[in-house]
Amino acid sequence: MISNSSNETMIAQKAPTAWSGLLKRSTGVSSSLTLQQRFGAHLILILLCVPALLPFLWMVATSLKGDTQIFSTTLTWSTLFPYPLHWSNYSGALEAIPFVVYLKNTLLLCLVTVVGTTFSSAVVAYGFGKMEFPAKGVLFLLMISTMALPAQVTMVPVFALFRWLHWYGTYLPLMVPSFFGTPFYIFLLTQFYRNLPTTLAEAARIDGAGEWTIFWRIMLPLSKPALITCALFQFMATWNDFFGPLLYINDPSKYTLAYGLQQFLSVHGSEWARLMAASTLFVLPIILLFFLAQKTFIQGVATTGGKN
Amino acid sequence: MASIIFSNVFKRYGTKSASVTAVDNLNVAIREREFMVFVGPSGCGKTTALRMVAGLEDISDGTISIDGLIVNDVQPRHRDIAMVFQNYALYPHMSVYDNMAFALKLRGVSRGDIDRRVKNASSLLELDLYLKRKPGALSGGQRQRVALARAIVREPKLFLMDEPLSNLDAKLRVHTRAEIIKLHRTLGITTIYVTHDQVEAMTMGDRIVVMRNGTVQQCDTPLAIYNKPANTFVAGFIGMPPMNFLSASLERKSSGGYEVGLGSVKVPLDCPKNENLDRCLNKKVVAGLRPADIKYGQALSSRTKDEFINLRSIVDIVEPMGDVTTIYVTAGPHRLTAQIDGQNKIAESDTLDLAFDPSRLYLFDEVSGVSLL
Repeated sequence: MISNSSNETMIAQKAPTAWSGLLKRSTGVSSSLTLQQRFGAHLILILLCVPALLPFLWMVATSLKGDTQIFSTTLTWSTLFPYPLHWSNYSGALEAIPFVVYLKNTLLLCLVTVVGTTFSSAVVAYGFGKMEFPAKGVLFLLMISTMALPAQVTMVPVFALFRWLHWYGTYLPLMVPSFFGTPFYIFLLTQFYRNLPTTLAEAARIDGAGEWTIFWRIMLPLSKPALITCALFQFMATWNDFFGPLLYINDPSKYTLAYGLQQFLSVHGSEWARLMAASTLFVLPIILLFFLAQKTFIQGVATTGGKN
Repeated sequence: MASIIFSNVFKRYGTKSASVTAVDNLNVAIREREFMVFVGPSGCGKTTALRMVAGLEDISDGTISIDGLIVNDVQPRHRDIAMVFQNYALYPHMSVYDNMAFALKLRGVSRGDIDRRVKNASSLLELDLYLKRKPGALSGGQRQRVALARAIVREPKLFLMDEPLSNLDAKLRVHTRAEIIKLHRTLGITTIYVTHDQVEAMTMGDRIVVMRNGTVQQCDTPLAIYNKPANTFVAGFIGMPPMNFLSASLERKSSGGYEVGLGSVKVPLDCPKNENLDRCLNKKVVAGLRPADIKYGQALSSRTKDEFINLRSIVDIVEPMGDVTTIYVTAGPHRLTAQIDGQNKIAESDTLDLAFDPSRLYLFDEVSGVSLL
C-alpha cells in the first residue's frame, strides 16, 4: 500500500497531464480498477489492518495514560485515547530499569551476531552455490534438515556443552554459534549465489583471482541485497531473543532489553503505563529499521527468488 | 605472442559408461600472431575447446601446449591469457576503470602503471568518457568495448574470444568486427575466436577451423575453405546463401574424361584423372553449386555463354537486397538458390535462363560427403 501510493505520487509529479494513464500502467493489479474500486480496496485493506494494529495501538495509548484512565472500568472514547498525555511514563520507565545498559548489551549482541551470521552464512552459501565438491547435494540436504530440528530438542545438550566450556553467564553462548552459519540464511544465500552468472567467477579466475578473492571481491559485493536481508532478519531475531539470555545470562548488568523487560514485569508488575512505555521504546527501533530498510528488505527477498 | 598446439585433445562429460564426447581428438596448431577462428553450429565443441585453453574446463585426454609448455595442469591465472566472454562478464559493481584495472591490481602492478595502461587501452577503444561509469549505465556496444579493453589492458600473450559479437545488433556487429581486426593488426597478439557466424569466420580469421560434433572438419585459410571445402558440411556451412546440393551421377565421357549428369543436363568436368572420381564412376554423387556462381543476364557475355551450362528455371521467390537479389528457382528436378545482380528486374513465376561455369561445380561422395575434387 505504501509503495503503491508513493509510486503514484512520484509519477503524478513527473507527468501531471498524463498521470492517470501512467498510473494505470504503473500499478499492475489495480490497473483495471476505477478510482472508486481502488478506494474500496484500500478501505478493506485498512480494515484488515486494524486487528493486527490494535494491540500495538493499545500499547502506545496505554503508555501515555494515567493510572485512573488505565483502570477505568467504563469503555468510552475518553478511556480509549490518553488524555492528558503522561509523557512522564517514559522517563519513569527509563528510570525503573537500566534501560541504557540493556540497550547497550542488546546492540552489542546484535552487532556481533549480525556480522557473524551474515558472513559465515555467506561463506558456506558460496560454497554450496558456486563450488563443486564431493557429496555437495547430501551435505546441503543435511544442512537444510537441521532447520526442521526444534531448538528445544538440542537445548539441554547445548546448555551442557556451554557450561562445560565455562561459558555460562557470558555472552559467548549467544555470540559464538552465529559464526557457524544459520541454515535458513545459508539456504537463502545459496539460491542467490546460484543465480549469479558463473562467467563472472570465470572472468575473475582468468584475471588472476583465487577462490577467496572471487568470493570477497566479486560475489560478496554482488550479494549485498541478500546479505542485508539476512542481516535484518538476524538483527530482529537477536533483538527479540528472550530465550537465549534467559538460559545463559544470570548477571543483571548483562541483561538484554527483551529479557530486562520481563524483569520489569516481575518487579514493577502493576505499573502498566510504565511497562507499556518501556515496551514501546523496545519495539520502536525495530519499526524504524523496518521502515528505513523496507525497500531493501523486500527487494532482497525478491532477489533471492531468482532475478539476477 | 604465443603458439598453441592441441594434440589429440578429448573432452568427455558424464561417467565412463554414459559419457558424451564434446571434443573428439582435436589436433590443431595455432601459430604466433595468428587470428584463428573456430566456427561451427552450437554444440560442435568450439567453445569447449576454447575453455580448455583458458583452463576453465579440464582436458579429458591429450595435451594443450602454449609456447611448447603443456598447460593441462596450469591454473588459468598462470596461463597469461585474457578472455572476452559472450555475455561480457563485466563486474557489475565496479566502474569501467576498476573493471579494467582489476587484473592488474591482482598482479601487483604499481598504481601509476595501472593508470597508464588503463588510459592507453581506453583511448584505443574510445572509452575515456566512460571510465567512471558502472557497466549497467553503458550500452551493449560500450560494454563490449569495455570487455575488449579489459582483455587488452592485461597485455597477455593470448586472447580468447567466445562469440563476443553475438549480443550486438547487426550494424554494431559489423563495426566491432572491424575494430577487433584492427586491434589484432595493431597488437599482434595470438587470438582464438569462437563463433557460429560464418561471416565473422570468413572476414576475421587468418585461418578457420570448422567443427562439427566435436571433430575438426577442415582447417585452412578462409578462401581455401570457400574454394575447396573438404565435405558437404563445410561446403554448406561456409558461404551465404548456402551452397546448392543437387543429386547427380558421375559418368565417363565417350571422349575420355568425366561428365556429371544433372537430370537431362550433362556437365563436362575439366579435371585430370582422379582416383576418387574413378571410384564413384557410374554412381550417384552430390554436386555442389554456390548461389553466386549461377549467372544471369548481363553477367553472361556472349563468350561465356558458350562455355556455361544453361539451366532453364522458374522463379519461386525473389528476395531483393539492393546490390544483389537472391532468387529461389526450380530448374527441372532441382530447386536452386541463385544470387544475381540486384538491378535485374525479376518477378515470381518468371522463366529465366540461368547458367553456370562447369569449372565452379563441386562434387562430393554421396555417402561420406567427402569432396571428390
